[in-house]
Amino acid sequence: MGYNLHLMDGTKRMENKAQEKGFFNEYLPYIVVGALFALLTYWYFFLATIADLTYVWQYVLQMFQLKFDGQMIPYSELSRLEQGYVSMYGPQYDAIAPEVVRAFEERQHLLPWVFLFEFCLFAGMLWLQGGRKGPKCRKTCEMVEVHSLFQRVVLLGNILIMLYLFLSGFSITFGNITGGGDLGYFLRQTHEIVGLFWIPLWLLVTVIAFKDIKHFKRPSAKWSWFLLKGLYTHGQRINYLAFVAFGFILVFSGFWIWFLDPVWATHAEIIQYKRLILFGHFMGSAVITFFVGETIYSYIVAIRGYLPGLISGKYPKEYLEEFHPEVLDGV
Amino acid sequence: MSNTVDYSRMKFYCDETRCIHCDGCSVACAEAHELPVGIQRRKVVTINEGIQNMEFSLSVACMHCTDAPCEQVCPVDCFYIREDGIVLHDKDKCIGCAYCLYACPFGAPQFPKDGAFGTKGVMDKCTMCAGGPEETNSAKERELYGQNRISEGKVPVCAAMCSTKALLVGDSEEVSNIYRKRVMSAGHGVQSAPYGWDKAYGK
Repeated sequence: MGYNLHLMDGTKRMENKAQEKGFFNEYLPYIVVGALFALLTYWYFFLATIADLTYVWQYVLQMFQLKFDGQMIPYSELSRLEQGYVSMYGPQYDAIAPEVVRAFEERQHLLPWVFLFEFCLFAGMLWLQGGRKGPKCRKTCEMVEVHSLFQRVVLLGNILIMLYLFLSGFSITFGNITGGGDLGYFLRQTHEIVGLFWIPLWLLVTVIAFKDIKHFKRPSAKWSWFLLKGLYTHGQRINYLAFVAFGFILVFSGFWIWFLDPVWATHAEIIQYKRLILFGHFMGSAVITFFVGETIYSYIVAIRGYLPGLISGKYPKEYLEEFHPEVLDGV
Repeated sequence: MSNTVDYSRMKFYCDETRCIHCDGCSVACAEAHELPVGIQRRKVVTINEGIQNMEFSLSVACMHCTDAPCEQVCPVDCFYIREDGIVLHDKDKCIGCAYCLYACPFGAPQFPKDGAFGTKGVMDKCTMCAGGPEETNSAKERELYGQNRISEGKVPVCAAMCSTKALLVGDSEEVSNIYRKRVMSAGHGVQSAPYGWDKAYGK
Protein backbone atom coordinates (compact mmCIF):
# COMPACT_ATOMS: atom_id res chain seq x y z
CA MET A 1 0.00 0.00 0.00
CA GLY A 2 2.81 2.31 0.98
CA TYR A 3 4.44 1.56 -2.31
CA ASN A 4 1.34 2.57 -4.25
CA LEU A 5 0.89 5.76 -2.26
CA HIS A 6 4.47 6.75 -2.99
CA LEU A 7 3.92 5.88 -6.63
CA MET A 8 0.78 7.97 -6.84
CA ASP A 9 2.56 10.84 -5.14
CA GLY A 10 5.34 10.65 -7.71
CA THR A 11 2.94 10.48 -10.65
CA LYS A 12 0.86 13.35 -9.32
CA ARG A 13 3.96 15.41 -8.75
CA MET A 14 5.01 14.90 -12.37
CA GLU A 15 1.52 15.71 -13.67
CA ASN A 16 1.37 18.88 -11.63
CA LYS A 17 4.79 19.82 -12.89
CA ALA A 18 3.58 19.35 -16.47
CA GLN A 19 0.57 21.59 -15.88
CA GLU A 20 2.75 24.27 -14.37
CA LYS A 21 5.37 24.27 -17.12
CA GLY A 22 3.24 24.01 -20.27
CA PHE A 23 3.46 21.54 -23.10
CA PHE A 24 6.53 22.89 -24.87
CA ASN A 25 8.68 23.20 -21.76
CA GLU A 26 7.52 19.89 -20.37
CA TYR A 27 8.26 17.94 -23.52
CA LEU A 28 11.34 19.92 -24.52
CA PRO A 29 13.72 16.93 -24.14
CA TYR A 30 11.65 14.88 -26.60
CA ILE A 31 11.46 17.77 -29.06
CA VAL A 32 15.20 18.47 -28.89
CA VAL A 33 16.17 14.79 -29.18
CA GLY A 34 13.59 14.27 -31.95
CA ALA A 35 14.96 17.24 -33.91
CA LEU A 36 18.57 16.07 -33.45
CA PHE A 37 17.57 12.58 -34.46
CA ALA A 38 15.82 13.87 -37.60
CA LEU A 39 19.00 15.81 -38.44
CA LEU A 40 21.11 12.73 -37.87
CA THR A 41 18.76 10.62 -40.01
CA TYR A 42 18.92 13.20 -42.80
CA TRP A 43 22.70 13.27 -42.62
CA TYR A 44 23.01 9.48 -42.51
CA PHE A 45 20.55 8.65 -45.26
CA PHE A 46 20.86 11.59 -47.61
CA LEU A 47 24.39 12.92 -47.17
CA ALA A 48 26.66 10.23 -45.74
CA THR A 49 25.43 7.00 -47.23
CA ILE A 50 26.13 5.92 -50.79
CA ALA A 51 23.35 3.33 -50.98
CA ASP A 52 20.65 3.68 -53.63
CA LEU A 53 17.95 4.87 -51.24
CA THR A 54 15.13 4.66 -53.78
CA TYR A 55 15.97 1.01 -54.22
CA VAL A 56 16.31 0.43 -50.47
CA TRP A 57 12.89 1.99 -49.88
CA GLN A 58 11.26 -0.10 -52.62
CA TYR A 59 12.96 -3.20 -51.23
CA VAL A 60 11.64 -2.54 -47.72
CA LEU A 61 8.13 -2.09 -49.14
CA GLN A 62 8.50 -5.27 -51.13
CA MET A 63 9.36 -7.19 -47.98
CA PHE A 64 5.93 -6.37 -46.59
CA GLN A 65 4.64 -8.53 -49.44
CA LEU A 66 6.85 -11.34 -48.09
CA LYS A 67 9.21 -11.12 -51.03
CA PHE A 68 12.79 -10.98 -49.87
CA ASP A 69 15.02 -11.47 -52.90
CA GLY A 70 15.15 -7.75 -53.76
CA GLN A 71 14.30 -8.20 -57.45
CA MET A 72 12.04 -5.28 -58.38
CA ILE A 73 11.34 -6.08 -62.03
CA PRO A 74 9.45 -9.38 -62.49
CA TYR A 75 11.75 -12.17 -63.61
CA SER A 76 9.64 -12.91 -66.71
CA GLU A 77 10.13 -9.35 -68.00
CA LEU A 78 13.92 -9.60 -68.00
CA SER A 79 16.05 -10.48 -70.99
CA ARG A 80 17.79 -13.83 -71.08
CA LEU A 81 21.04 -12.21 -70.06
CA GLU A 82 19.43 -10.32 -67.18
CA GLN A 83 17.67 -13.46 -66.01
CA GLY A 84 21.03 -15.18 -65.92
CA TYR A 85 22.54 -12.41 -63.84
CA VAL A 86 19.65 -12.32 -61.38
CA SER A 87 19.55 -16.10 -61.05
CA MET A 88 23.25 -16.39 -60.38
CA TYR A 89 24.29 -13.24 -58.63
CA GLY A 90 21.13 -11.70 -57.19
CA PRO A 91 19.57 -8.37 -58.15
CA GLN A 92 21.23 -4.95 -58.41
CA TYR A 93 24.45 -5.96 -56.74
CA ASP A 94 25.72 -2.40 -56.39
CA ALA A 95 22.55 -0.83 -54.91
CA ILE A 96 23.53 -1.43 -51.29
CA ALA A 97 26.96 -3.05 -51.34
CA PRO A 98 29.84 -2.73 -51.78
CA GLU A 99 29.60 1.04 -51.51
CA VAL A 100 28.14 1.05 -48.00
CA VAL A 101 30.75 -1.34 -46.66
CA ARG A 102 33.48 0.53 -48.50
CA ALA A 103 32.30 3.85 -47.09
CA PHE A 104 32.55 2.53 -43.54
CA GLU A 105 35.90 0.97 -44.26
CA GLU A 106 37.27 4.20 -45.71
CA ARG A 107 36.11 6.28 -42.77
CA GLN A 108 37.45 4.05 -40.02
CA HIS A 109 40.43 6.31 -39.40
CA LEU A 110 37.97 9.01 -38.23
CA LEU A 111 36.48 6.86 -35.47
CA PRO A 112 39.30 7.18 -32.91
CA TRP A 113 38.81 10.96 -33.16
CA VAL A 114 35.08 10.58 -32.57
CA PHE A 115 35.74 8.49 -29.46
CA LEU A 116 38.38 10.92 -28.27
CA PHE A 117 35.88 13.76 -28.71
CA GLU A 118 33.24 11.84 -26.73
CA PHE A 119 35.76 11.08 -23.98
CA CYS A 120 36.77 14.75 -23.75
CA LEU A 121 33.11 15.75 -23.70
CA PHE A 122 32.34 13.44 -20.78
CA ALA A 123 35.54 14.41 -18.96
CA GLY A 124 34.66 18.09 -19.45
CA MET A 125 31.14 17.55 -18.12
CA LEU A 126 32.53 15.73 -15.12
CA TRP A 127 34.97 18.55 -14.47
CA LEU A 128 32.24 21.19 -14.81
CA GLN A 129 30.10 19.31 -12.32
CA GLY A 130 32.97 19.25 -9.84
CA GLY A 131 33.70 15.53 -10.06
CA ARG A 132 31.62 12.55 -9.10
CA LYS A 133 28.81 13.03 -6.64
CA GLY A 134 28.40 10.45 -3.93
CA PRO A 135 25.99 10.02 -1.02
CA LYS A 136 26.36 12.57 1.78
CA CYS A 137 25.54 10.60 4.91
CA ARG A 138 25.88 12.02 8.41
CA LYS A 139 27.32 8.93 10.14
CA THR A 140 26.24 5.75 8.44
CA CYS A 141 24.04 5.66 5.40
CA GLU A 142 20.55 4.27 5.60
CA MET A 143 20.47 1.67 2.86
CA VAL A 144 17.38 1.08 0.75
CA GLU A 145 16.96 -2.04 -1.37
CA VAL A 146 16.22 -0.94 -4.92
CA HIS A 147 17.16 -3.90 -7.16
CA SER A 148 16.35 -7.58 -6.63
CA LEU A 149 19.01 -10.19 -7.33
CA PHE A 150 17.33 -11.01 -10.64
CA GLN A 151 17.36 -7.37 -11.71
CA ARG A 152 21.01 -6.97 -10.76
CA VAL A 153 22.04 -10.00 -12.78
CA VAL A 154 20.08 -8.77 -15.80
CA LEU A 155 21.30 -5.15 -15.61
CA LEU A 156 24.94 -5.98 -14.95
CA GLY A 157 24.89 -8.73 -17.57
CA ASN A 158 23.44 -6.29 -20.07
CA ILE A 159 26.12 -3.69 -19.33
CA LEU A 160 28.99 -6.17 -19.59
CA ILE A 161 27.67 -7.77 -22.77
CA MET A 162 27.01 -4.42 -24.43
CA LEU A 163 30.49 -3.21 -23.55
CA TYR A 164 31.94 -6.36 -25.08
CA LEU A 165 29.79 -6.05 -28.18
CA PHE A 166 30.89 -2.45 -28.70
CA LEU A 167 34.52 -3.43 -28.23
CA SER A 168 34.42 -6.51 -30.45
CA GLY A 169 32.13 -4.88 -33.03
CA PHE A 170 34.34 -1.86 -33.44
CA SER A 171 37.39 -4.12 -33.57
CA ILE A 172 36.16 -5.12 -37.03
CA THR A 173 35.90 -1.46 -37.96
CA PHE A 174 39.37 -0.82 -36.57
CA GLY A 175 40.76 -3.75 -38.54
CA ASN A 176 43.22 -1.62 -40.46
CA ILE A 177 44.78 -0.48 -37.21
CA THR A 178 44.90 -3.91 -35.55
CA GLY A 179 45.87 -5.58 -38.82
CA GLY A 180 43.68 -8.65 -38.27
CA GLY A 181 45.24 -11.91 -37.15
CA ASP A 182 44.33 -14.13 -34.21
CA LEU A 183 43.12 -11.42 -31.82
CA GLY A 184 40.96 -9.78 -34.48
CA TYR A 185 39.59 -13.18 -35.46
CA PHE A 186 38.80 -14.04 -31.82
CA LEU A 187 36.99 -10.72 -31.26
CA ARG A 188 35.05 -11.12 -34.47
CA GLN A 189 33.91 -14.68 -33.69
CA THR A 190 33.02 -13.91 -30.08
CA HIS A 191 31.09 -10.85 -31.29
CA GLU A 192 28.65 -13.25 -32.95
CA ILE A 193 28.43 -15.65 -30.01
CA VAL A 194 28.11 -12.98 -27.32
CA GLY A 195 25.61 -11.19 -29.56
CA LEU A 196 23.45 -14.31 -29.53
CA PHE A 197 23.44 -14.26 -25.73
CA TRP A 198 22.44 -10.61 -25.80
CA ILE A 199 19.16 -11.38 -27.59
CA PRO A 200 17.33 -12.78 -24.52
CA LEU A 201 19.06 -10.28 -22.26
CA TRP A 202 17.95 -7.34 -24.42
CA LEU A 203 14.40 -8.70 -24.24
CA LEU A 204 14.56 -9.07 -20.45
CA VAL A 205 15.89 -5.53 -19.96
CA THR A 206 13.18 -4.24 -22.30
CA VAL A 207 10.52 -5.90 -20.14
CA ILE A 208 11.85 -5.18 -16.64
CA ALA A 209 12.69 -1.57 -17.53
CA PHE A 210 9.23 -0.84 -18.91
CA LYS A 211 8.50 1.44 -15.98
CA ASP A 212 5.74 3.24 -17.86
CA ILE A 213 3.54 0.19 -17.45
CA LYS A 214 2.77 1.69 -14.06
CA HIS A 215 0.85 4.43 -15.87
CA PHE A 216 -1.45 1.81 -17.39
CA LYS A 217 -1.53 -1.02 -14.90
CA ARG A 218 -0.74 -1.19 -11.21
CA PRO A 219 1.85 -3.97 -10.79
CA SER A 220 0.96 -6.45 -8.07
CA ALA A 221 3.33 -7.03 -5.17
CA LYS A 222 3.91 -10.46 -6.63
CA TRP A 223 5.66 -8.92 -9.65
CA SER A 224 7.32 -5.94 -8.00
CA TRP A 225 10.67 -7.79 -7.85
CA PHE A 226 10.52 -8.05 -11.60
CA LEU A 227 9.92 -4.46 -12.73
CA LEU A 228 12.46 -1.76 -11.95
CA LYS A 229 11.41 0.67 -9.21
CA GLY A 230 10.30 4.24 -9.75
CA LEU A 231 9.25 6.20 -12.80
CA TYR A 232 11.23 7.59 -15.66
CA THR A 233 12.41 11.11 -16.03
CA HIS A 234 12.23 12.34 -19.62
CA GLY A 235 15.92 11.78 -20.33
CA GLN A 236 15.81 8.26 -18.94
CA ARG A 237 12.69 7.46 -20.97
CA ILE A 238 14.41 8.63 -24.16
CA ASN A 239 17.36 6.36 -23.37
CA TYR A 240 15.03 3.47 -22.66
CA LEU A 241 13.08 3.92 -25.91
CA ALA A 242 16.33 4.20 -27.90
CA PHE A 243 17.59 1.04 -26.21
CA VAL A 244 14.42 -0.82 -27.16
CA ALA A 245 14.19 0.46 -30.75
CA PHE A 246 17.83 0.32 -31.83
CA GLY A 247 18.50 -2.75 -29.71
CA PHE A 248 15.76 -4.45 -31.68
CA ILE A 249 17.39 -3.44 -34.96
CA LEU A 250 20.70 -4.83 -33.70
CA VAL A 251 19.45 -8.17 -32.34
CA PHE A 252 17.19 -8.73 -35.33
CA SER A 253 19.84 -7.92 -37.94
CA GLY A 254 22.59 -9.60 -35.92
CA PHE A 255 20.60 -12.81 -35.70
CA TRP A 256 20.06 -12.95 -39.47
CA ILE A 257 23.68 -12.08 -40.20
CA TRP A 258 24.71 -15.03 -38.03
CA PHE A 259 21.98 -17.40 -39.19
CA LEU A 260 21.93 -16.84 -42.94
CA ASP A 261 24.88 -18.39 -44.68
CA PRO A 262 24.31 -18.42 -48.42
CA VAL A 263 25.67 -21.32 -50.46
CA TRP A 264 25.76 -21.43 -54.25
CA ALA A 265 22.18 -22.68 -54.47
CA THR A 266 20.74 -19.93 -52.28
CA HIS A 267 23.16 -17.10 -52.91
CA ALA A 268 21.00 -15.13 -55.35
CA GLU A 269 17.92 -15.22 -53.10
CA ILE A 270 19.70 -14.41 -49.85
CA ILE A 271 22.58 -12.07 -50.53
CA GLN A 272 20.56 -8.90 -51.09
CA TYR A 273 18.66 -9.45 -47.84
CA LYS A 274 21.97 -9.90 -46.01
CA ARG A 275 23.27 -6.67 -47.53
CA LEU A 276 20.21 -4.77 -46.37
CA ILE A 277 20.43 -6.33 -42.93
CA LEU A 278 24.08 -5.33 -42.62
CA PHE A 279 23.09 -1.80 -43.62
CA GLY A 280 20.58 -1.82 -40.72
CA HIS A 281 23.16 -3.28 -38.33
CA PHE A 282 25.61 -0.50 -39.14
CA MET A 283 22.94 2.12 -38.63
CA GLY A 284 21.65 0.60 -35.38
CA SER A 285 25.11 0.29 -33.86
CA ALA A 286 26.01 3.86 -34.78
CA VAL A 287 22.83 5.34 -33.31
CA ILE A 288 22.57 3.23 -30.16
CA THR A 289 26.01 4.39 -29.00
CA PHE A 290 24.65 7.93 -28.77
CA PHE A 291 21.98 6.86 -26.29
CA VAL A 292 23.04 3.67 -24.57
CA GLY A 293 26.68 4.63 -24.36
CA GLU A 294 25.52 7.39 -22.06
CA THR A 295 23.40 4.95 -20.04
CA ILE A 296 26.25 2.51 -19.53
CA TYR A 297 28.56 5.38 -18.77
CA SER A 298 26.18 6.78 -16.17
CA TYR A 299 25.95 3.41 -14.42
CA ILE A 300 29.69 3.08 -14.09
CA VAL A 301 31.46 6.40 -13.79
CA ALA A 302 29.07 9.26 -14.39
CA ILE A 303 27.98 11.86 -11.91
CA ARG A 304 24.66 10.29 -11.20
CA GLY A 305 25.78 6.66 -11.36
CA TYR A 306 26.38 4.52 -8.28
CA LEU A 307 28.01 1.25 -9.23
CA PRO A 308 28.17 -0.24 -5.68
CA GLY A 309 24.39 0.15 -5.53
CA LEU A 310 23.93 -1.66 -8.82
CA ILE A 311 26.11 -4.53 -7.59
CA SER A 312 24.63 -4.89 -4.10
CA GLY A 313 21.12 -3.76 -4.99
CA LYS A 314 21.13 -1.34 -2.03
CA TYR A 315 21.46 2.42 -2.34
CA PRO A 316 21.95 5.03 0.40
CA LYS A 317 18.64 6.80 1.06
CA GLU A 318 20.39 10.18 1.07
CA TYR A 319 21.82 9.49 -2.35
CA LEU A 320 18.42 8.60 -3.75
CA GLU A 321 16.81 11.65 -2.14
CA GLU A 322 19.33 13.92 -3.76
CA PHE A 323 19.81 12.32 -7.17
CA HIS A 324 17.00 9.86 -7.82
CA PRO A 325 13.86 10.95 -5.94
CA GLU A 326 11.74 9.28 -8.60
CA VAL A 327 13.27 5.90 -7.62
CA LEU A 328 12.77 6.56 -3.94
CA ASP A 329 9.12 7.30 -4.68
CA GLY A 330 8.77 3.82 -6.08
CA VAL A 331 10.48 1.96 -3.26
CA MET B 1 56.15 -11.42 -83.58
CA SER B 2 57.19 -11.88 -79.99
CA ASN B 3 56.36 -15.15 -78.25
CA THR B 4 56.17 -13.55 -74.83
CA VAL B 5 52.68 -13.37 -73.39
CA ASP B 6 51.68 -10.49 -71.16
CA TYR B 7 50.23 -12.16 -68.09
CA SER B 8 49.23 -8.87 -66.55
CA ARG B 9 45.54 -9.71 -66.71
CA MET B 10 44.82 -13.34 -65.97
CA LYS B 11 41.08 -13.89 -66.37
CA PHE B 12 38.47 -16.60 -66.36
CA TYR B 13 35.74 -16.96 -68.94
CA CYS B 14 33.00 -19.57 -69.10
CA ASP B 15 31.28 -20.05 -72.45
CA GLU B 16 27.64 -20.71 -71.58
CA THR B 17 26.99 -22.22 -75.00
CA ARG B 18 29.50 -24.98 -74.31
CA CYS B 19 29.06 -25.74 -70.59
CA ILE B 20 27.19 -29.03 -70.11
CA HIS B 21 27.01 -28.90 -66.30
CA CYS B 22 29.16 -31.99 -65.84
CA ASP B 23 30.59 -30.50 -62.61
CA GLY B 24 34.02 -31.68 -63.63
CA CYS B 25 35.54 -28.29 -62.82
CA SER B 26 34.12 -28.04 -59.30
CA VAL B 27 34.96 -31.66 -58.46
CA ALA B 28 38.49 -31.27 -59.82
CA CYS B 29 38.93 -28.08 -57.79
CA ALA B 30 37.70 -29.70 -54.59
CA GLU B 31 39.90 -32.75 -55.11
CA ALA B 32 43.04 -30.88 -56.14
CA HIS B 33 42.91 -28.49 -53.22
CA GLU B 34 41.48 -31.01 -50.73
CA LEU B 35 38.67 -28.64 -49.83
CA PRO B 36 36.57 -29.44 -46.77
CA VAL B 37 32.90 -30.29 -47.17
CA GLY B 38 30.83 -27.12 -47.54
CA ILE B 39 33.51 -25.12 -49.33
CA GLN B 40 32.96 -24.69 -53.05
CA ARG B 41 35.49 -22.45 -54.66
CA ARG B 42 33.92 -23.19 -58.02
CA LYS B 43 30.31 -24.05 -58.68
CA VAL B 44 28.22 -24.79 -61.74
CA VAL B 45 24.84 -23.10 -61.97
CA THR B 46 22.06 -23.93 -64.41
CA ILE B 47 19.72 -21.10 -65.34
CA ASN B 48 16.12 -21.57 -66.50
CA GLU B 49 16.32 -25.24 -65.68
CA GLY B 50 13.76 -27.28 -67.63
CA ILE B 51 12.68 -24.42 -69.92
CA GLN B 52 13.23 -25.38 -73.54
CA ASN B 53 15.74 -23.24 -75.46
CA MET B 54 16.28 -21.10 -72.39
CA GLU B 55 18.34 -23.44 -70.24
CA PHE B 56 22.08 -22.90 -69.96
CA SER B 57 24.81 -23.58 -67.45
CA LEU B 58 27.79 -21.62 -66.22
CA SER B 59 30.78 -22.39 -64.08
CA VAL B 60 31.28 -19.61 -61.54
CA ALA B 61 34.13 -18.78 -59.16
CA CYS B 62 36.14 -15.74 -58.17
CA MET B 63 36.55 -13.71 -61.35
CA HIS B 64 39.72 -12.01 -60.10
CA CYS B 65 38.20 -8.61 -60.83
CA THR B 66 40.30 -5.75 -62.12
CA ASP B 67 38.91 -3.36 -59.51
CA ALA B 68 38.22 -6.07 -56.91
CA PRO B 69 35.49 -4.88 -54.50
CA CYS B 70 36.51 -7.47 -51.90
CA GLU B 71 39.94 -5.91 -51.72
CA GLN B 72 38.39 -2.48 -51.17
CA VAL B 73 36.05 -3.41 -48.34
CA CYS B 74 38.30 -5.73 -46.34
CA PRO B 75 38.80 -4.09 -42.92
CA VAL B 76 42.13 -5.85 -42.32
CA ASP B 77 43.52 -5.48 -45.84
CA CYS B 78 44.07 -9.20 -46.25
CA PHE B 79 43.64 -9.09 -50.05
CA TYR B 80 46.36 -8.36 -52.51
CA ILE B 81 46.45 -8.34 -56.29
CA ARG B 82 49.44 -9.92 -57.98
CA GLU B 83 51.16 -8.34 -60.93
CA ASP B 84 49.44 -10.81 -63.24
CA GLY B 85 46.02 -9.70 -61.94
CA ILE B 86 45.26 -12.72 -59.71
CA VAL B 87 43.42 -11.64 -56.55
CA LEU B 88 44.66 -13.51 -53.48
CA HIS B 89 44.20 -13.17 -49.74
CA ASP B 90 46.10 -13.87 -46.55
CA LYS B 91 44.24 -16.33 -44.31
CA ASP B 92 46.44 -15.47 -41.33
CA LYS B 93 45.14 -11.91 -41.48
CA CYS B 94 41.48 -12.63 -42.32
CA ILE B 95 39.10 -12.28 -39.37
CA GLY B 96 36.08 -13.87 -41.07
CA CYS B 97 33.92 -10.74 -41.02
CA ALA B 98 32.39 -11.67 -44.41
CA TYR B 99 32.36 -8.08 -45.72
CA CYS B 100 33.92 -9.46 -48.91
CA LEU B 101 30.89 -11.70 -49.36
CA TYR B 102 28.58 -8.66 -49.24
CA ALA B 103 30.74 -6.84 -51.73
CA CYS B 104 31.40 -9.64 -54.20
CA PRO B 105 29.10 -9.62 -57.25
CA PHE B 106 29.71 -13.32 -57.84
CA GLY B 107 29.29 -14.87 -54.39
CA ALA B 108 32.85 -16.17 -54.54
CA PRO B 109 33.96 -15.92 -50.88
CA GLN B 110 33.24 -19.11 -48.95
CA PHE B 111 33.13 -19.53 -45.21
CA PRO B 112 33.39 -22.83 -43.36
CA LYS B 113 30.61 -22.72 -40.78
CA ASP B 114 32.52 -24.85 -38.33
CA GLY B 115 33.09 -22.54 -35.36
CA ALA B 116 31.37 -22.63 -31.99
CA PHE B 117 27.64 -21.83 -32.18
CA GLY B 118 27.80 -21.96 -35.96
CA THR B 119 30.22 -19.07 -36.34
CA LYS B 120 32.12 -18.90 -39.57
CA GLY B 121 35.82 -19.44 -40.05
CA VAL B 122 38.23 -17.45 -42.20
CA MET B 123 37.37 -16.88 -45.84
CA ASP B 124 38.28 -19.27 -48.61
CA LYS B 125 38.05 -18.59 -52.33
CA CYS B 126 39.43 -19.53 -55.72
CA THR B 127 43.13 -18.70 -55.98
CA MET B 128 43.31 -19.46 -59.69
CA CYS B 129 45.59 -22.27 -58.45
CA ALA B 130 48.17 -19.66 -57.47
CA GLY B 131 48.47 -20.41 -53.74
CA GLY B 132 48.81 -17.61 -51.24
CA PRO B 133 51.34 -15.34 -49.56
CA GLU B 134 53.24 -18.22 -47.95
CA GLU B 135 56.44 -19.56 -49.46
CA THR B 136 55.67 -20.97 -52.92
CA ASN B 137 54.89 -24.69 -52.83
CA SER B 138 55.54 -24.88 -49.09
CA ALA B 139 53.55 -27.27 -46.93
CA LYS B 140 51.78 -24.36 -45.25
CA GLU B 141 50.77 -22.82 -48.55
CA ARG B 142 49.36 -26.14 -49.71
CA GLU B 143 47.50 -26.66 -46.45
CA LEU B 144 45.93 -23.20 -46.43
CA TYR B 145 45.36 -22.49 -50.11
CA GLY B 146 45.78 -25.77 -51.97
CA GLN B 147 47.92 -26.45 -55.02
CA ASN B 148 50.05 -23.76 -56.64
CA ARG B 149 49.84 -24.88 -60.26
CA ILE B 150 50.60 -21.45 -61.71
CA SER B 151 54.10 -21.53 -60.19
CA GLU B 152 54.65 -24.83 -61.99
CA GLY B 153 53.53 -23.33 -65.31
CA LYS B 154 50.28 -25.28 -65.34
CA VAL B 155 46.75 -24.15 -66.16
CA PRO B 156 44.31 -23.98 -63.21
CA VAL B 157 42.88 -27.42 -62.64
CA CYS B 158 39.24 -26.47 -63.40
CA ALA B 159 40.08 -25.23 -66.90
CA ALA B 160 42.47 -28.11 -67.52
CA MET B 161 39.70 -30.55 -66.62
CA CYS B 162 36.92 -28.93 -68.69
CA SER B 163 36.00 -31.48 -71.34
CA THR B 164 34.15 -29.09 -73.67
CA LYS B 165 36.64 -26.27 -73.18
CA ALA B 166 33.83 -24.04 -72.00
CA LEU B 167 36.02 -22.78 -69.19
CA LEU B 168 38.95 -20.72 -70.40
CA VAL B 169 41.65 -19.08 -68.36
CA GLY B 170 44.68 -17.02 -69.20
CA ASP B 171 45.71 -13.61 -70.42
CA SER B 172 42.56 -11.62 -71.17
CA GLU B 173 43.72 -10.83 -74.71
CA GLU B 174 44.05 -14.51 -75.49
CA VAL B 175 40.73 -15.39 -73.88
CA SER B 176 39.03 -12.56 -75.82
CA ASN B 177 40.53 -13.81 -79.08
CA ILE B 178 39.23 -17.34 -78.49
CA TYR B 179 35.79 -16.00 -77.62
CA ARG B 180 35.80 -13.82 -80.74
CA LYS B 181 36.73 -16.77 -82.96
CA ARG B 182 33.97 -18.88 -81.46
CA VAL B 183 31.36 -16.19 -82.05
CA MET B 184 32.51 -15.73 -85.64
CA SER B 185 32.50 -19.45 -86.35
CA ALA B 186 29.01 -19.72 -84.88
CA GLY B 187 27.89 -17.34 -87.60
CA HIS B 188 25.86 -15.00 -85.46
CA GLY B 189 26.46 -12.30 -82.91
CA VAL B 190 25.93 -12.30 -79.20
CA GLN B 191 23.53 -10.13 -77.27
CA SER B 192 26.19 -8.74 -74.96
CA ALA B 193 29.66 -9.15 -73.57
CA PRO B 194 30.57 -12.52 -72.04
CA TYR B 195 28.83 -13.35 -68.80
CA GLY B 196 30.23 -11.51 -65.83
CA TRP B 197 32.94 -9.66 -67.72
CA ASP B 198 31.38 -6.21 -67.48
CA LYS B 199 31.04 -6.61 -63.71
CA ALA B 200 34.47 -8.10 -63.20
CA TYR B 201 36.59 -6.22 -65.67
CA GLY B 202 34.61 -3.09 -66.51
CA LYS B 203 32.65 -2.21 -69.65
